Amino acid sequence: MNNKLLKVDIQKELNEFDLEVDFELKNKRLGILGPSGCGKSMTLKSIAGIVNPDNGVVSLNTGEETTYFDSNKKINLKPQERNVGYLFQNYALFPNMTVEENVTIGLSKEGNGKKTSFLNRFSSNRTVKGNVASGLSKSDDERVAEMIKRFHLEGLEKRYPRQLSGGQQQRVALARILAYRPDVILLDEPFSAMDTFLKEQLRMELANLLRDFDGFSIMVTHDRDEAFQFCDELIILDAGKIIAKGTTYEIFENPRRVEVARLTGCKNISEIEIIDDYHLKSLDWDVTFEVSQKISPNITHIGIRAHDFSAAQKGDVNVFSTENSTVLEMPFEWEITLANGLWWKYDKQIYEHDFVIPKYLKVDPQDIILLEE
Amino acid sequence: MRSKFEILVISITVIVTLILFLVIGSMFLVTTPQGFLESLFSSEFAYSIWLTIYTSLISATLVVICCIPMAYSLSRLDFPGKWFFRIILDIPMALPEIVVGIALLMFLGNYGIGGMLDSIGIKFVFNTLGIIIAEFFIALPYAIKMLHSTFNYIDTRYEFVSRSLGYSDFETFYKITLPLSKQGLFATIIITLARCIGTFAAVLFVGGGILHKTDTLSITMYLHLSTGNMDMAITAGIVLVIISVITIAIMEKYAPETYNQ
Repeated sequence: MNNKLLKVDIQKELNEFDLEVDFELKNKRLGILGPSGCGKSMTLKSIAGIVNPDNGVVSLNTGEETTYFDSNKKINLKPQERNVGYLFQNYALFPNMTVEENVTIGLSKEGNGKKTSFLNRFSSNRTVKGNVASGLSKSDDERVAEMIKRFHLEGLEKRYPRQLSGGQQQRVALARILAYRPDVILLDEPFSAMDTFLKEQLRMELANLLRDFDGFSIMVTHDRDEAFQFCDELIILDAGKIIAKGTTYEIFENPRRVEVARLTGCKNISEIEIIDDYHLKSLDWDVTFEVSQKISPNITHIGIRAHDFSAAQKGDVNVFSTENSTVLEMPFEWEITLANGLWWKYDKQIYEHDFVIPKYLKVDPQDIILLEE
Repeated sequence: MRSKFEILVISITVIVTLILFLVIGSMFLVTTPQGFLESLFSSEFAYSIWLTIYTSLISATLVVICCIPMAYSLSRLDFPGKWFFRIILDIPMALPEIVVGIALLMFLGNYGIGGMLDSIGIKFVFNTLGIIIAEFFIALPYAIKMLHSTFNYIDTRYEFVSRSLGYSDFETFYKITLPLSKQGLFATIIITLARCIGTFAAVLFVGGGILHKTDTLSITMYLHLSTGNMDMAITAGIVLVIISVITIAIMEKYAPETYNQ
């Protein structure tokens, strides 16, 4: 993985905005986080070659440099000439093919430069059912069996995608992609439109797999948990522009911008008025806060994560009353909405059902996130 | 207990369908079994059936060969003036068949390129070739329309996946798009065949409606109706009904299963 480098620098005019994305990827796993319609999927499709950017460069260096797209040099490799696997939402398994055939179709073109003529293989193997299995040598058959085993699909070889569970479908899709041995795997919101239980199970499997995969993976998502779980680095995209870029930990700890804070799951965000270097007034919650960092003049908002409040005494720093709050019980946490709109989450045990809201809450000056619009 | 609304809509369906059935069925009562059999086994009738099958097999094959790339390009690709081609291809569907027939006759006959072709010994009108051309142009727009919506219905993600797995455009079309449109393609073939068999006005004009030469079943029916030979006319009608029943039955029975996920 050491010397690999994926360079993306593309511009494309879209209906609502212009997409401008550029990044260089050295780490294995990148996430692109953004609200729906921000251009995330378009970026992924440009890398895969499904969509053509107006301008820019997409290139991959894995020892030698392959230019996938370069508007100046008029290079534009077709999707089939790029060594990129694309994992769609709901996986897009070929519904007319069995598990085995779905895996085989990935295998038979595996690796650039190993392509055999399709027509040759077709004419010499007319008898093989489904044409898909045609042209595979003995060792290819063994490799299919290997993939089937590796992805725990034994016994399902002859089934069709519609006869599989969600988890099995994901494994077939991944087996199909990995059989192709891509340099880059692109994941387009793989878990949206899935029920919670299945989602959690599949996330675990996919996370393990991507960790072992010796190539780049880029996941597009609007879900902060997925971004956090799957990605070493993050790009935050809003209306076609990158508004934050960095390691996942950095971005979650210090989002810097309102939109980034919102996307990384900060529940409480308010516009502010600066009082002095270390004090500000939140306009939405009508509370004055002390902060630990000097407030620069371009700070317009603050964010407070819902878990960062604690019980307090009157007279503490950054304290406010909890009068007229509403409490909602969840299995493992209490969700409290204060009268001024602040949202507090407090962990609990599953058997606890009574909760007395402390009269006052406070937030540590360190936990107040200073944000720019 | 059904609501009044349900009773109303079911009644309309039942009554209109029964009337239609009666209309078709009554044709079987006009002729006597003897008259029917005599007509059916006459040499003239044998020629007519043979001509119908032969021309419609050729024209339907040509239609299917043409409509696959045409429907695909209209569904999947962008090219300059695509909207124009779509409209042109839709026009014959809205036009009465007779207009298409006259237009073809004008174009292929002496007013159009006919005179020129005549001088080098090629004749497109008033012969079997004319019938095939007429059937082709009548059936083609419907076939394109049907297959176009079939292609549109197939999720393009399958094709993207196939390409991203290294398959060329043609391989993707052959291995993914075409197998996935199996059902629509099958229906298109059957309907095209049925339309070719049943084409009337266009075949009458371009083929000339010559007894024993260019009379397909529907033309036979028309010619004998106008000379008052009811047995022959009705027999041709009955055979056409039987052919369409067989067509529908084949569609129902052998239509490939869909791959709904």
